Amino acid sequence: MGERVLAICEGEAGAIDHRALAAAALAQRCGAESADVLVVGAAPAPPGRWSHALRLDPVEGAALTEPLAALVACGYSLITLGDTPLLREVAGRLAARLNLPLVASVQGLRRREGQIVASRPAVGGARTANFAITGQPALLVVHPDAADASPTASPPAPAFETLEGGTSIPAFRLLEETRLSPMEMDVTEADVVVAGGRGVGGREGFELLGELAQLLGGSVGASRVAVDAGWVPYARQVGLTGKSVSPRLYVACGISGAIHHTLGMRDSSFIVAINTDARAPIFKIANVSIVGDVREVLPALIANLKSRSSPAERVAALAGATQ
Amino acid sequence: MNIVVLLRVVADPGLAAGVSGSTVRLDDPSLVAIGQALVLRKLLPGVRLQGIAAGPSDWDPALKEALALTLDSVRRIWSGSLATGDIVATAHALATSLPPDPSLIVAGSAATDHGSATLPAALAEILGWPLLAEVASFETRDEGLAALVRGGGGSRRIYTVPERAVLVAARARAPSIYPKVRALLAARKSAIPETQPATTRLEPTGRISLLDYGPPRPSTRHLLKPSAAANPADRIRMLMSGGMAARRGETLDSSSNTGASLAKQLADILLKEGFVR
Repeated sequence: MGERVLAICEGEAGAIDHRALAAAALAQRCGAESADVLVVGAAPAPPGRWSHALRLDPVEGAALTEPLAALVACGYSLITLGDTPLLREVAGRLAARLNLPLVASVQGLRRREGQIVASRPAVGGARTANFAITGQPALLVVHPDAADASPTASPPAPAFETLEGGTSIPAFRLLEETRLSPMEMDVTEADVVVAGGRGVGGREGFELLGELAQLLGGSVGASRVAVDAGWVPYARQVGLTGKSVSPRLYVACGISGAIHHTLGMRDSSFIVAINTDARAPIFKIANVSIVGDVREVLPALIANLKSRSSPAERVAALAGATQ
Repeated sequence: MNIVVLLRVVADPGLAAGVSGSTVRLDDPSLVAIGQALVLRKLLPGVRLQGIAAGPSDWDPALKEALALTLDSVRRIWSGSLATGDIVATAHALATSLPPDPSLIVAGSAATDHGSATLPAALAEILGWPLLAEVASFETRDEGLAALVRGGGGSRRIYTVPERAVLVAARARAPSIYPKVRALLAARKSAIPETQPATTRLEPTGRISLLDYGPPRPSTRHLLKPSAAANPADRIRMLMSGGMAARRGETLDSSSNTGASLAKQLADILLKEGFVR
């Protein structure tokens, strides 16, 4: 398109939010002359060939609007934003403040007769609505499934330039913050899921899984076999007849990997599988395969992780485990 | 105290055989917003709940259902220039059509704006109000009204809610709230007033225009697509694994490692990949 685009992504704890990766991928593939990336939070630049990499500290959406409004005025024709709650707020506020065209849930982008055409689902997903965008710059909130965001070989991102943040005047005072324990946290909202199947052996085995999930800051999932056996409630079932999850890390313990289960967890970014059967199908989709008994590997792994954590973290983990 | 609830109506052909004879209904995020507004009415006595929607007259049967769910009033704004779904234009139209002296605006996760979930933020910016997203529930504390916000990775935060704010409900299943038959019959007899937005900032045609509708985008997430280059046995394996491309990585075998050694190697990998801090 011979234009400049800006991708705005959000990340924390050293990784880009997976919902924002498609915004970066779409910015890379829209045919613009140059693409810049802005990362809100402490995360590396997403994969891609970026001309400039910018960073902004995360604050509430209203405070982000000020510095972003100045950035948007720097000659970009398109600005893609990740589909996260913070970036959706930023998109809405920017569009209203600068009177910019905004299309959300964008699933595709192309050029038709000199116009940028963005498509998004309509009529409850039964149709695709195609919009011609004439105003520039245009804001596009990109649906997480819009573009294949799988990592590709890309040159190292340029050094980050840090932008001055806006004045943060929180309108909402934080009174209390808690983190749910692994057995309280829903599997669909967890970044890490430690799931068990028949090989876990029983309820006691799931207590071990809970301990590992606590150490990794995740939730406990299960295959249908474990749920049918009454070891864990149905709400924890992952698979075709349970919930679909897409965590950053999925640890499959004693799960064979039948298609009914893998359909619910195949979008996991990194899969670790532990199973005694070296021919278990789960190993074909795992990044790390451990041929061994869950009841031997897990206690050793938990002890190892505990020995690595700081005393303060150990106290916090123990406190969480006893709640 | 006036609380405004943003409402959105969706077509549901499955309703055609129903008693109402209508094929539209309130979408689930709107029902979640109504559920939260009803909670607020219980927590804050004297609250008046007012629903507002930006849509055509076809929406009226569903909006009457909102009335039957005990909202004090429901209004609809409409202008032909809103048909493209321009979010900024819709936000301006809503901002100028709000009831007098609104305190809180409650929206569903995708209310009123074709599922984009960006309209409440645009509305907040126009009004100069703060916005709190992912609100799961409310409670009253010594500090006043507080909102429980659902964060990523199982975090839960409780914030005070100021006098004026836009509150966006977290995604959730529609609550089990049903109108009483008497309220439903009364609502069906009432009319949903339509007003023209009192704003001149409704010129979306210069920026966004709806070209056409196409077939739905195929959801590749649900397609099983084995590699054409693979041999038949591998293709069957790919199909059996749910269409996932094989990403066989490192294998650690207990035959040559003790449990502690396996655990150490795995812990090292988790540390290297950034899963252990």
